[in-house]
Amino acid sequence: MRDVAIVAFAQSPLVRRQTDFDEPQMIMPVVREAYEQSGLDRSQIDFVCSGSADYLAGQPFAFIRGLDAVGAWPPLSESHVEMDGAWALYEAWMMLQIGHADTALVYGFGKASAGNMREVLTVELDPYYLAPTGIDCISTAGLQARALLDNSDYTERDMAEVAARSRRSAMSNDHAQVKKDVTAEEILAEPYWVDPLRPSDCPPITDGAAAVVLVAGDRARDLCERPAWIRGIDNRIETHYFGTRDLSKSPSTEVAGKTVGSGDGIEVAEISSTFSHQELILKDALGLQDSTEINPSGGPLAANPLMAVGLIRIGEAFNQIKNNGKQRVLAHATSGHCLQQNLVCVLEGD
Amino acid sequence: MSDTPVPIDTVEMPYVRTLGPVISRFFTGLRDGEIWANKTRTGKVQCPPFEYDPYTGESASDDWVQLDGTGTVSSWAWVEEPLRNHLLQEPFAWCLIRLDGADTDLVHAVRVADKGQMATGMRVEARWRDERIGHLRDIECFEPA
Amino acid sequence: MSDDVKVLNSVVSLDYERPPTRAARRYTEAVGEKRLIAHRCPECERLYTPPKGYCPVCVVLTTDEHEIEVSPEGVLVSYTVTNPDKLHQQGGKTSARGDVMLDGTRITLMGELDGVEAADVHTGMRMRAVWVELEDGRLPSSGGWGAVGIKGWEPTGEPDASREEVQELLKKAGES
Repeated sequence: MRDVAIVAFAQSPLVRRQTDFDEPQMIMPVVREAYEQSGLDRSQIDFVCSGSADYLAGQPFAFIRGLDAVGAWPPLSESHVEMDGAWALYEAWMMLQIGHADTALVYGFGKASAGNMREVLTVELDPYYLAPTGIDCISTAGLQARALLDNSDYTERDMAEVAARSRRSAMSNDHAQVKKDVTAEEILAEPYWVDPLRPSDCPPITDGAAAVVLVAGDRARDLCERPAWIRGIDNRIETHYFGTRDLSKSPSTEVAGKTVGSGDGIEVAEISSTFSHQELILKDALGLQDSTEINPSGGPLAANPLMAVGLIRIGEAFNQIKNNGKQRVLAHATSGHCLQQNLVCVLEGD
Repeated sequence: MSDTPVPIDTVEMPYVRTLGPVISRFFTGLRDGEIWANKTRTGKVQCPPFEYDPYTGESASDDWVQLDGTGTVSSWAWVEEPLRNHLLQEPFAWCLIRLDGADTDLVHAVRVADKGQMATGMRVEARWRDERIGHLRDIECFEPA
Repeated sequence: MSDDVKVLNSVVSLDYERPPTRAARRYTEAVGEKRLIAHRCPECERLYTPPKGYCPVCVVLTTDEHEIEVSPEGVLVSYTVTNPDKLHQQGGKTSARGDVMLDGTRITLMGELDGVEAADVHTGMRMRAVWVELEDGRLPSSGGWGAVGIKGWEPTGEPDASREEVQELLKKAGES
């Protein structure tokens, strides 16, 4: 295995609707900032990989426009995943592992504001048995939350505590969208949206972009005072029809976590708990200790730019090492409904 | 720079999907007012049926069983304001339903007069449409048994 | 088994709201006045119309301060004639589309060729823009791509550019 580190991370403002800028305009300053942090210019980047979803923009090959933001001239070595940027980072990490590149730029972006996400995300379900029912992402999350409440000792208060803490933590995150000093009591007083979920158990709709620079070997130490070394990264998927899964657990997260050592001495975990109950499921699946600080950024409940939100978890974890003196941190990204696919990554400082 | 309203672009993609032998048999059954499940090679009864066992990757067996359309709710989520594509256009519950005789859950809708009637473990039965075409919607919804 | 259900018909239908960017709003206003605006990249001086709000080659944002007016007239540098009958598209009519390089720029914009018989179209013709009509202050939907403020091109009637002049224009456009 080659040593591969994150040396730079940048993110756009995460907002309800980015009106003046289109996708390339939203991404470009983020990529510029990531380059500046790394001290590399684009001629020194061996490989570029992005994550986005054309259904968010409602245009075929919408991801091609994203390339305008990184400069596709002279022609560059590039790839794309129709997924969160965290999976683009996984592909870039593999390119570095097999020695096809020594440096990589990874970015993820999405303007969820353009479409109706409750309808758009239905399209990613099985087209025979699920999509034709019209079931949406809030409803599938509701089924999962109920399964957790029924099959564990967790309560709606536990969910509300997660939701409240996330919004309070976000108050110290300049990029976050939903930040307020709110209590679990106040959240429990909200009427249900899709019972057992209240509005505050659910994420906001967010436009945004993020970028990360990866570098292999000792060069990372020249480019960043405190690089974050990727000590383990794994992603696992479960079957798509969630009627055949135990929704109160996340075995794919558990396997990926065990592979990378998620239960061992993690100081901070940035996880893609898109809904409050998912933090409870993920904490158990990852075997996180009570001493682990979860989502100091506020997590997806504070800002949920689809296709960037997982990459931002990795970036926020990197910031904990670079800026906050942490030594061993974890990041998690998810894809699909009800935590269908999960990526877990452990980062360490020198 | 007037603040003109933003126009709505509707993107429409029609698809005709072939079903394969397993889903074809299931949908043909629905059209005829019957619910069929298939067995994996480990003997697990899947409803809806798949061509494979998602937990082993093995092909499913050719063993089919007919279910009677009654079952038990194993999870539910209450929708007060349905979306335009939802199965029902009135307040209802999305449910995971373990049909009697099956080992997996079917995702469908349950109609009750009042949310207070909903509970995990409640017994439900299929309510069929009169006009059926071979589609999940041939079962209009499930109702308390 | 001939009456078994063999297929599932479905329609994915999704609604999108795409607010125009600032650059697109200013472009639309100019089209309403039959003016064509572009952004000039501050680094490489390439021109873009409609303005993107950035230069994808230099990877820099552009704003109102980079806005300039460009000529809505130019030279036909390439074209193609579509004969729908040959393509088994009944009911269509023979039409020509072409690329016009705007005067004083190396921007080419594609559009329907109007006011000229398909058989008479030739490179070097001097063309001017046929503007779209705004609908409630907005450009009609174009499906997201293309020179949306200009429907196409019609001959100005001025003398043609020579073959050498056209070759020179194309050479200039190909420089990176």
